[in-house]
Amino acid sequence: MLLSKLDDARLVLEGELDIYAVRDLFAVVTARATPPTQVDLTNVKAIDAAGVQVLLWLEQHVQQAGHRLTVRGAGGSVRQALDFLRLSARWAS
Amino acid sequence: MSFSADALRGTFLEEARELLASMQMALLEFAQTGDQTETVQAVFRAAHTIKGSAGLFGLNHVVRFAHTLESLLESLRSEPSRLTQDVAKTLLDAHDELDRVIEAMTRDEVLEASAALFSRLEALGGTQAQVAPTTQQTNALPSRRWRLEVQFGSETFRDGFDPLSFLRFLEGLSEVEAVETITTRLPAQGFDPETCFLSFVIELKTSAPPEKVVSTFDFVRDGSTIAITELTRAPEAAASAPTQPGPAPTDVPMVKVPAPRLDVLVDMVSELVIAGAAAEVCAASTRDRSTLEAFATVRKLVAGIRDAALSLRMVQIGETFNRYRRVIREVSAQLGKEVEVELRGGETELDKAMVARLADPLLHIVRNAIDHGVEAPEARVAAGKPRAGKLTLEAQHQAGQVVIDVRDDGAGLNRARLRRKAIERGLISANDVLTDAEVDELIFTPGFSSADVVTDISGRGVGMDVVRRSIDALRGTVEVLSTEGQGTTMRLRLPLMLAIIDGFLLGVGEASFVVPSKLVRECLDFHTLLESEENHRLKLREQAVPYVRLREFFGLPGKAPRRESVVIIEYGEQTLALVVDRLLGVSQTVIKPLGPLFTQLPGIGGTTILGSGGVGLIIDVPQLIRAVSMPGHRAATSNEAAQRSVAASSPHRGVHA
Repeated sequence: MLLSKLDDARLVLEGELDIYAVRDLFAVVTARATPPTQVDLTNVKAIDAAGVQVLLWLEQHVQQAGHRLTVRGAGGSVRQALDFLRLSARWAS
Repeated sequence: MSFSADALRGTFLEEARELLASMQMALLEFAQTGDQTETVQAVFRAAHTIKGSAGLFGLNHVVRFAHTLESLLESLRSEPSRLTQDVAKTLLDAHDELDRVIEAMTRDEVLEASAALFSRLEALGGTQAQVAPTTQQTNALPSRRWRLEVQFGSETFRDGFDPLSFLRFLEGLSEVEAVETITTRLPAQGFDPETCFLSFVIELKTSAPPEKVVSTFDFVRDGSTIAITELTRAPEAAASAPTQPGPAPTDVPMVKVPAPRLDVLVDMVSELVIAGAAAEVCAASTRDRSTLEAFATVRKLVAGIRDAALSLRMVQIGETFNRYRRVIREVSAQLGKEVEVELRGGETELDKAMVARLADPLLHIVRNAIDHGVEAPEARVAAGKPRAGKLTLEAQHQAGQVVIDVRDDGAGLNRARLRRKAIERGLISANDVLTDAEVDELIFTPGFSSADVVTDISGRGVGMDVVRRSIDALRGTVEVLSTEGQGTTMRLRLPLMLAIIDGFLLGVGEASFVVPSKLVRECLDFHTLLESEENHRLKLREQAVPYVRLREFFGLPGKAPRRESVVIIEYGEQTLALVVDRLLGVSQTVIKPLGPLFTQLPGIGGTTILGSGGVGLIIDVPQLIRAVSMPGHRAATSNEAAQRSVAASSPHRGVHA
C-alpha cells in the first residue's frame, strides 16, 4: 500500500513503493501539467526496482522541464537500496 | 594498529551472528509469506557467506556443516518449489545447530554439528564436503575483477521478480565496486510503470568463477541479457580506456567499532559536558564579554559533540522485534493458538543500551499478549473473528520519546474479573468506585495475576509489576489500553537516550532539581493561576491542572518566597504543574545513577553534577505524576531522606554531611 500526497512541487509518499503501487502513483503524477521536483520518502518502508524505476522516470521527466529531481528522507532498507544503486548522492538535495 | 587473531575472530562471530539472524528471519517469514524463491535466496546467501568466512579463518568444523547446508540450498535454488514448510523446519533446525556450533567458539570449544542433522540435510539433497577447504586453498584463489552488464527483460516485474534482490545477491559472493543504473531504454512517451526498462552495469571483484556470478540471474534468464567481461588487471590500462568516468563512489563506507569504545567516548563527553558547565560558571563570574562569547561557542560545539557521540550508539529496534517472531511462533504453538505477527517502524532508532535493557520486559509483554490476550482459535471463531489472532509490534518517535506498542486483537481485559480478584486480594474494597482505566491499572499491582489458569508461559504472579519496574528504571512508562472484546495495547514510552539530557534547572531553597526540558511546556507565575489551594489545582486557560509544591512533596526546610514560579510539564497525555522558588534555566545534564542516599526517594530518578559543583536531583516525571495522582501517596515520602539529600546537594555539602 502506498499513499501519496502531491502539493505543488513536492510529492510525499508513505508505505511501500513497489510494483503494486507504481501504476497508481504514475497516474497521480501524470495528472499534473508539471511534475513534482521533490520526493519525500521519509515514511516509505520498502522499495523495489519498479519503485526505483518510477523515480528514474520522474527524474527524466523533471530534467526535460529543465529542473533537477531531489529525493529526501530515505531510511532503512530504502536508503540501502538507493545507496547500493548509487542514487542517493545523485538525488541528494 | 595491529589486529590480533582474537579481534578478527570477534569480527567473524559478529558477522556470523548477523547472518544467522537474517537466515532465521527469512525462514520464519516463510511460514507467513510462503515465498519460496526469496526465502531460498536469503538462506543460501547467509549460509554461503558464513561458509566463506569460516574458511578464511580455518574453522573447518564450521565449514563442513555450512557446506552441507549450502549444497542443499543450492539444489533448492534450481527447484524452489521443493521448499515446503517441513523442509523449512529442517533448515530452521540446521540454523539452530550452526548457531550452537558458532556460539561454542566463544567458549573456545570446537563443537561438531550433530550427525543426525547432517543426515537430515543429506536426505533432502545436501552433500558432504569432499575435502574441507583450508586457509591456504581459500586464499590461493585469486580475486578477479569483472564487468557485468545485465539488461532485465520487459516482463521481469510482472513475472514477480525484483531485479534489486538479484543485484544485491551479488554482494554475497563478490565485492561490488561500482553500480551504474542505465535508463536509456525508458521511453520518453508512453512509459508503462509495470514494464521493466532497467539495465545495470556492475563492476565487481570476486574469486568465484564467472559462470557462478552469472548464475545469480538464472531465474530471470528468459528475456534478459547478461554479459560478463573481465576487467584488465592493470589499473592504468583501465584508466586509459575510452570510457566515461565511472559513477561517483557514493556508497557509505561502514566501520565496525567495539561497543565499549563508544561507551568510553560517551563517558568522556559526559565529563566534558560537566567540566564545560563548571568552566562557564567561572566565566560568568568574570563578567568579561569576550570570555563569555568564547564560552558560548564552546558550549555549542560541546552540545554538537554530545549529540554526535550519542547518535553513534543509536540502533534500530527492528532486529529486536525480529527476534520475537520466533518466540511468538513457539509460544503460540505451545498454547494451541494461531497468531499472525505484524512489525512496524522497525527502523526507529534508540540507544543501544536501552534496546538491551528493553528486551526482557518487551518479551514478557509479548508472551502475555499471546497467553492472556489472544483467544483460542475456537473461541475466536465463536466471537466472529478470524481464527488467527493478530499481534502488532510498532515503534515510532513522538516528541523526543520512543513509543512502542504491543497490540493484540484478542478478548481485551476482563474488568469484572480484575475487580473480583482485586477485592479477593484486599487491594480494593467492594465499595470502591473505579474508572475503567483504574481497573486496568490493577494488572501492574505486585503479585496480581488475572489468568484463570496458571500456565507455563505467564501467570505465575510475577508479571506486569516487574515489567513496570524495569521500564521505570529506564525512565519510561508503560500503560495499558484495552477494549473488551477487541483487544489490548501495551504502550511503552521511553526516552531516546540514557546518558545525557537537556535539563531544565529549578531551585527550591538550597536544593536544585532538574526536569528534562523537552517535557517543559511553559513557565508561569504561580499566584496568578492558583485556583484551589485545597485541591491543589491551578487554572490554566480554563483547564484545571494539578500542581505539586516540590518543597512540600520532598519535605524541604525553609519558607517559600513571596513570588513562587510554576513549571508546566507534559508527559504523554498528562499535565502536571511543579511549584518552585526559582527557575534557573536550561543546562546540559549528565545523568548519574542514584547513590544509595537517594534510592529511597520516590520521584527522583537520578542525580547530576551542576556547574557550580553541587548535586542536582533529576525528577523522575512519570514516577512523580503517579505519586501525585495517587491520593494516599501525597507527602507521605521519606522526609528524612529528602533532607539529607538537600544537605548533600548544597555546594558546601562536606560541611553538612
